[in-house]
Amino acid sequence: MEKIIDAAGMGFAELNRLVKTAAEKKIRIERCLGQRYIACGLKDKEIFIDGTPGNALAAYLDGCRVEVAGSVQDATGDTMNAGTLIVHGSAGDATGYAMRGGKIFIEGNVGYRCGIHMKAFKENKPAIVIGGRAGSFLGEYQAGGVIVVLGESGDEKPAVGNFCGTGMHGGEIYLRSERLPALLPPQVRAEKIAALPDGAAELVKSWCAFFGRKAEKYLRSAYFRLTPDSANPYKRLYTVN
Amino acid sequence: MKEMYIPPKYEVLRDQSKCVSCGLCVKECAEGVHFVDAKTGKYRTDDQKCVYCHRCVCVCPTHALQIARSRDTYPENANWDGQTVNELYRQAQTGGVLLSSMGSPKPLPVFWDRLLVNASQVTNPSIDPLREPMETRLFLGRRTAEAVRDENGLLKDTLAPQLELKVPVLFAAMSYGSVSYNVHESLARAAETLGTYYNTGEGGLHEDFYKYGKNTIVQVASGRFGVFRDYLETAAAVEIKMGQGAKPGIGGHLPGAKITEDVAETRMIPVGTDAISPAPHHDIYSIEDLRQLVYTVKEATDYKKPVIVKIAAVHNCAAIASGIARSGADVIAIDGYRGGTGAAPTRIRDNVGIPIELALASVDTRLREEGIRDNVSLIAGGSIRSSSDVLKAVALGADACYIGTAALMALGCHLCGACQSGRCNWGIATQRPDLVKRLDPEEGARRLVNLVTAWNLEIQEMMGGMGINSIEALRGNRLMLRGVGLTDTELKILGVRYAGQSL
Amino acid sequence: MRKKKLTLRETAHVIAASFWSTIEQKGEPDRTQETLLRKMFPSLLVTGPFSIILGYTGGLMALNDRLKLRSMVCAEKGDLAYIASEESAIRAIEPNPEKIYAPAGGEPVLFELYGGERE
Repeated sequence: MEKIIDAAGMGFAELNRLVKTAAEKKIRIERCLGQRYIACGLKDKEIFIDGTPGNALAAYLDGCRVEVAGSVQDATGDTMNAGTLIVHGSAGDATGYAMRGGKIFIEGNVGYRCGIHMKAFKENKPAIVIGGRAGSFLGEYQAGGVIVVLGESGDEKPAVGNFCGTGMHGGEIYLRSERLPALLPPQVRAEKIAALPDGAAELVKSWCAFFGRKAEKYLRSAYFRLTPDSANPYKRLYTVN
Repeated sequence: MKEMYIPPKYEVLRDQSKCVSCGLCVKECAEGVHFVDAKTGKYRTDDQKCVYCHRCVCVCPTHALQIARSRDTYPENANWDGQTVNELYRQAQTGGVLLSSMGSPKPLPVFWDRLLVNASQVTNPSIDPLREPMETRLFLGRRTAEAVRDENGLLKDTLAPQLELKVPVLFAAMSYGSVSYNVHESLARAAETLGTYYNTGEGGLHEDFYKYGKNTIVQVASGRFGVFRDYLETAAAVEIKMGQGAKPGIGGHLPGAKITEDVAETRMIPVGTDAISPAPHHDIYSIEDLRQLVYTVKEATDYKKPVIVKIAAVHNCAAIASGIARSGADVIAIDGYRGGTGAAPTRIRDNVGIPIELALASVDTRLREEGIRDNVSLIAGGSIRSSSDVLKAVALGADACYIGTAALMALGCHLCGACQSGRCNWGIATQRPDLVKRLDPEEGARRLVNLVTAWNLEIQEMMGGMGINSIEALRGNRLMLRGVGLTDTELKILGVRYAGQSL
Repeated sequence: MRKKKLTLRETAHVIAASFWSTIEQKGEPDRTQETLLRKMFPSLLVTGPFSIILGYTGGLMALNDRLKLRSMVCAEKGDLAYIASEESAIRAIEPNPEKIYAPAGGEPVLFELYGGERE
């Protein structure tokens, strides 16, 4: 059974209460517009959202599948632990902040500071796949996990903005691009790779499956792989006082 | 000149007539100060390594050891004192940023010591706390509920979630990683016995300590270490850490070497990787954004837990607190300039921020002026050293106080300020198993309970003298304080009169 | 802007100037122009979080700070332009915009009428 919630004109507190207390595993939210904190801390549900959910969607998510027909806003997937988020649109700033597990698939672009302080833990390896372009500070302080940018933005602008990987000290970023982004910080190592490794290729295939694209086109492209140069990039020289 | 010789700060004095060559000093000093000379078989010391933690002095069975300030100093100069000279040489040698631990030792004024407490004489009877009721129980949380009645005309409980404290003292945030497992266990057990709370800091909550959840405040800091659903749900309250008194405006960096298996598990990161906390929360650039994080936490915990927002005491903290009080937060914790830390750049620790007394008074005044004091409770921290500091903080407007350094001292800390080395001889700021086991959590908990119980008795005694038998009636009652040796501006900010001035 | 007769775009490059390292990556004439603007008006740089919408006779300008510490979304439909901090706010007024995008920090978005007249 699927529970259908018409969110038109509904405040976030009421909507989220309905979602949390629903007996049904499957929930469909229709006419969603700006309601914040949807699916916050939730697990074991399948939520489909039609519209534009508000900020902090899927924060602390602990194992749901959330699919959005539309764009999502800022702080999506903050400290997400597990689950899958599929967005048929773009995402705002700080997407996947400190996420520790689960996967986020964005069809379009993401804003600034996507994947900031993303980290891996044991079997949890978070992943973000971005179909379009990423804003500046992609993977800032990244400590683990995988970010893939496919760069399909329909314009001439570069696939990622400035200061990509600032403070990065773990994990990997794959950029589908012919040229490297400007201003890579010195502690980030970039290498051109002939083919995506299996894990990243699987992510790209999943992304293609979700958004009805042909995987071949994306798998055959040139990618740059960005990794931190050492595990401890910012061991600034301290002197004990 | 390749390396500048920097004379040792301290020297170890051994009274040979008392020394029985038992070797305990050698065994107990993780810094390696004491050793037996291979040639002569005599006990010797490497003073250069001594951090003045007093461990050897305390364990020496015959009291044969003393530590003194080294007599080897620089030419006398009131402007370039020895410490300043040492720091300059060290930086010229290494090009490094100076790193220190604990709260600032700089001699800035301590306003607690210039505030004096009132007592009743004749007009209002004093109370004997040993024989009459004297309440130190209090609740932290938002107190703005409307009087809503049910169909029988009875008041409905629409009050926001509250934290109940039996004593006006909580243990301040100290992360597992910066302090040891045994410190956390001591704090947790003591908090349970005392009817108060300890705070995980930003290093996550060890699985063994989930059972103390109802006495635990968990932190959500910019690095989000160990933050997940169960962590938030287990706790009694959630603290969003925006800043810390010892290092306002900067993040944290626990080096990979300190991320042992157990610490990694608790922080939910791989072993041996650096744990970097960004300076800001990168989703909070305004009060509106803070509101969003406050409500994210509330949504994740079904509005069942108070949310604390902790800030460092800085120049505009009154205006900032006013914003936080409107953000949906239930409690504001303010951490003063003298607060401690496991490691902070020396210049930040010693130069950034303002004293807690002035910050607290200005925040309380501002919230009252704006009619929003009941939106939040206030916790003051940043070097609360005694029961009278707590009492004065309450009279200046705090609901309760955080103690960090004082709690560690109850566990054996001697303020040597070498926490960053990870070789704490008292088993506090270390992850080395052989050192950690020096702190017995049962004994530690007992000492913490002793300390806070004693303070609570003293607080009751002083309240009794004032004729006040509930700590709630003392909160913000600045008429119970008078200042000495303070300027007009200081008195104005503190909102107290000069000693000798009547109403 | 009024006194020195700077254009709106130039003004944006003064108050939300790009980082020196970013300017150095730019092609000409942007690099020289933006360097000059930063040298001429260094004290007018605003570094904290802001998003502003400026309305004038001939149009609208939207601008974020250079680190983009604030949210901003722009949308267009026909001859109408929309600027908000959240996409949902725009969709509340216009559910089906033709174009919707998030401008980069420090890059002004201009919607002009009447040849952009400023007075």
